[in-house]
Amino acid sequence: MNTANMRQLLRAAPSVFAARASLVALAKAFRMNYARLPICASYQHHMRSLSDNNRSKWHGLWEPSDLKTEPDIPEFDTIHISMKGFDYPVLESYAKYVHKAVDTMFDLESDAWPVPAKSTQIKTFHPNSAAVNDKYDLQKYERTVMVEDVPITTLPILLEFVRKNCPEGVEVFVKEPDPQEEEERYVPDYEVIELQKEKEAIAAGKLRKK
Amino acid sequence: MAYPPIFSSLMRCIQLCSRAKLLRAQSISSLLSSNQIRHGSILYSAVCVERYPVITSNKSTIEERFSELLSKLEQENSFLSDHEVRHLKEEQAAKMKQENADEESGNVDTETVTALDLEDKWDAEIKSFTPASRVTQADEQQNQKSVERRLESSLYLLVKQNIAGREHWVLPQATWENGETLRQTAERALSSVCGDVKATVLGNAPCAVAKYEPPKEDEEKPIKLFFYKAWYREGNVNTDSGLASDYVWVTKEEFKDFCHNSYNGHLKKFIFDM
Repeated sequence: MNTANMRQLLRAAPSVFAARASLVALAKAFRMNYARLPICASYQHHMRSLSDNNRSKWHGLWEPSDLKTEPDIPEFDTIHISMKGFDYPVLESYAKYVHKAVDTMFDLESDAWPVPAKSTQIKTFHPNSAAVNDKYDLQKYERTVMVEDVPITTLPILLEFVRKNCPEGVEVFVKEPDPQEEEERYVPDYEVIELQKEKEAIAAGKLRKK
Repeated sequence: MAYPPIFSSLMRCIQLCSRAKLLRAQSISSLLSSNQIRHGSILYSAVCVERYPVITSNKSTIEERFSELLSKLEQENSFLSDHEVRHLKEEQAAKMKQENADEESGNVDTETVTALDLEDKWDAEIKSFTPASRVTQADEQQNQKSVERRLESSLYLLVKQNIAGREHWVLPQATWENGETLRQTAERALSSVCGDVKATVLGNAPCAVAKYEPPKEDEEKPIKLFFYKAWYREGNVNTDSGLASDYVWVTKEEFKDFCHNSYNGHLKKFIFDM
């Protein structure tokens, strides 16, 4: 039984080294079978140290008294900088600029992503009639830059930077994360929805047939 | 370390203020107000109200020429747009028709909207639209009290306040009182000195500080002036309260026309014009 387990673990070798839990299992297996498999003493020691209950007897005995659990200057957990505009190249280059500045200049943890665009159709009419003069299809594009662990003294500077460098035609909003906006990021996969409906219809159909 | 008379006169003003408070409180036992004793130095909070630019900034000559060059390059390196392709096709079709017409008898032309017709229509549309002028009435009149002036650059509020018996052009400021935060002092300065101006103060911590250490011979207290930045929202100054005798909205370059050199030096630390 043990050898079967071992074979399974060894077959999954590349993924084993990715997951610690499986490593621990491997260590346990090795500990039981080290006599059979040829591994050196240092590797045995390494495998032993990987197990969860391996703690030095001096662990936690002398804790430093000046340990800081919080930073000196309080920090905002997450800040979302969302940029919206109809002019795509301008918006895109500004979003890149802000992201790069936050990363390089302000030295803060950041991530940036696009939000699905909202399209609007505009029709202009001839005066005093319903005849369409012009038809426009506009897309309002959106980009969001997320900044993490912003010290409260840095935020005003970040706000000023974002506002001063804002190009024409771009609206910027700096706010804390909104779960509603998180929902709007996801575009519905119509194919999947249709297939699911089909599946439900078939299931219902089957029940009816019975 | 040559400081202007502003700070020494500030010191004298504080002593006068404290004596006035003393009389109001009717406590003859203490010579100095308890508010001032508690802190080693005199603290002030000033607020820098900034009206952000409304329109894009004007390009300098080099920027103009470079921007022209870039658009020229972009056009020369670009592909033809759908409209231009359509125009070319129509031209070719027209040529073919002419050649065919020479050979055969003339055919009836069907009414189509050509690309050129569309261009004419768009030109007419543009001509009918007049954008607002970049130069406002306030610009023409050189009215420095107006917020509508110089829409392409930031405007900052300067007031003429009486500090230690003398009038100075400064950012609106107020003395710190015991029990309030520096930010509250800044907001009080805004509401009491400026009147109807509505602004959003940025941050609880000041963005800059100006210190004055008097020489040891004069038994005066050191002064600390903390600056806060605020974004202008609406309203304008009214000098009804009497704390400010005059006010102006100026750009960064115009500061030197009003403030003392050393004060200007402190302002340059945190006012950036990008």
